[in-house]
Amino acid sequence: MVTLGLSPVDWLVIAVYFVFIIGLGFYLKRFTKNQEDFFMAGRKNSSWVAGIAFLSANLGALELLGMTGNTFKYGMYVAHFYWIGAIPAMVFLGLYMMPFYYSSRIHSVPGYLKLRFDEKTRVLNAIAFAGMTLLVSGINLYAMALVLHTFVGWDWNVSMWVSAMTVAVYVTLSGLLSAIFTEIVQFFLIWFGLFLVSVMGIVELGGPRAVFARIPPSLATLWSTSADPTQNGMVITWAGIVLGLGFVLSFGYWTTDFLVVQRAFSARDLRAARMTPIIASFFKMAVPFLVIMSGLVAIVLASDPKYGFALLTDGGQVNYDSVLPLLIQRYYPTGLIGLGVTALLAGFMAGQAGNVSAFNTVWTYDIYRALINKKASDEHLLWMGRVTTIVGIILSVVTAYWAKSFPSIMDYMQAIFSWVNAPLFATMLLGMFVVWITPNGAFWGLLAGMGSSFTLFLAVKFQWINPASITLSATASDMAVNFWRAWWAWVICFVVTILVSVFTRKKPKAELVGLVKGLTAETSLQPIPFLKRPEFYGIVSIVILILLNIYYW
Amino acid sequence: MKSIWYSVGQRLLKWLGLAETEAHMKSIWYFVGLLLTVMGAIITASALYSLANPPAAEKVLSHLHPDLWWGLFMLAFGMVFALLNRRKTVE
Repeated sequence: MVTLGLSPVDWLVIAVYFVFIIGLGFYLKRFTKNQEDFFMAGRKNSSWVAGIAFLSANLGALELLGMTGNTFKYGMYVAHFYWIGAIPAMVFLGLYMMPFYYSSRIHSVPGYLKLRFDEKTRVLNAIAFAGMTLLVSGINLYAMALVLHTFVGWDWNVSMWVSAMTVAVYVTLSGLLSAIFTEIVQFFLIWFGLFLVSVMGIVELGGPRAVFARIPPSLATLWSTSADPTQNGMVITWAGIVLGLGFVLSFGYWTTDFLVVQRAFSARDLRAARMTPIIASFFKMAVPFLVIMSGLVAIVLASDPKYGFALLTDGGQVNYDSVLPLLIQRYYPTGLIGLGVTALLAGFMAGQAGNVSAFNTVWTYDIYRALINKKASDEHLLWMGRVTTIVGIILSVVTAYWAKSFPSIMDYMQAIFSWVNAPLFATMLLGMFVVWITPNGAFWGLLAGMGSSFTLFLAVKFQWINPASITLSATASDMAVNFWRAWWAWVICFVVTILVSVFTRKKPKAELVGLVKGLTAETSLQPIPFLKRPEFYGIVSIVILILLNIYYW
Repeated sequence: MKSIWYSVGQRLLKWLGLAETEAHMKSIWYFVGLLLTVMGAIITASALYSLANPPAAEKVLSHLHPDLWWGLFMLAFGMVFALLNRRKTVE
């Protein structure tokens, strides 16, 4: 069903965006002269540029639509994804993990595994990451085409191919540099394009207090109903939120997923790299104003017939993704609709570019150069990066067509992160902070963690086991099962890594200098005033997080 | 004919500081400013046209003219951003 009618002015706004980003790709090409420029954006970005790109790589349109819809379904509990499910991990990355990543001058997260452990651990993670990235990229592409077809009435094939080709052009021209530039453009477009949705909703309903006053308590609070899973919209306990989301999934994603961490690698120095996720954390805390507030406004509008607001249905099923497009349609006049659609398009395309730029780096450095051509020259790696970008886009399109013929693959997206990222966080944590963890311990621990996460997913999916045995509560939502599965995968990886390390050969300490806590110079000894240190901003970020949680308790 | 368009394009690029002769890369903030300026101008112009010729189907809260105020805000924000960062380059 088509809900958003586009006028010529809206089309003009969209066309300006496409011309602009392709022009940007051509402009940046002249500054992309070697592989360091292409894969690491020349390592010359300020912490603000890297920080906003770090956040934007995660702030895709699928997330905006999905999380607004989830707020309609689960209420304020979705804010956990933006606060406890992100901020502590981002601050931890900046303060404690970035010195190891950045100082070792690696090109990718698997590159760290090679230095800290060995080649087989690096290749295992690189292959898993490359597969995950292509799968997620393809599913994103499919989702974008689906959204544009459903809400704007565009042809499925045309919207997918035009977007994919545009991304291919500008990423092939200048790699990570153009990916980061377009992510920053996307950040501004999302704020300018969607900010008014929440504002207009609040104005229509009479202010923020009026919105919260008309929402059921199970959907309007963060923690006060979390002791009993039957009392909150997400059907989960506080333990599931803290351990599964707040610890494993959050830390697993924000500290090890190369898609976001790559942005920090592009920073010009260690301080800028450490500040990257910390600056991003402040903006991350503000995103719920766009996402959660819109969802809450939609709950109120849908609960009172006088507003004439109802979500779309597909085959009798409520389409929760329709919340944001319907609010855009409700409030936005000509011109602003074009801006809102451009914001969604920019989100999809920047997400696609982020996935492809991460894929081309991991393929080129951690698979191609590690296994196929160890003596590749600088020029050859640059060429390989460009070829891999095009191949990655083509594979994404193939995956998108696969997703179209097999729509339930969309359900697996959250699960995919818990297969790869959750166990990797245990490996990274032990690798960076425990000297005696061995290469074989890391490899077998990672394999066991990924294998167990996948097995648990199949076991629940095909009802081989009762989900309650994972979630430790009688009732649980799919989201709760996801959180708990990630927790168990992390525990298994953690335990197996330690056990195998006890019985296998350790790496000499001389090879671990700069890679492990205790064998690395303390960065806080640098003569920087306290008010300019990442530690200060990290503390401020955590204090704001605590205040937000208390206010919305 | 082609040479006229080429010449106009080159002059525009030079005026924007994006000509090929420029040795240093412009800051991303400059590009953000340019894009917001252009989009803000389009939305403002569209809002002014709508004021003169009100559409048949009104949106909720359309009497507040959100397109006009938001378009003007984008235009002003974009111009300030572009002007402040016009001479900034990335070394």
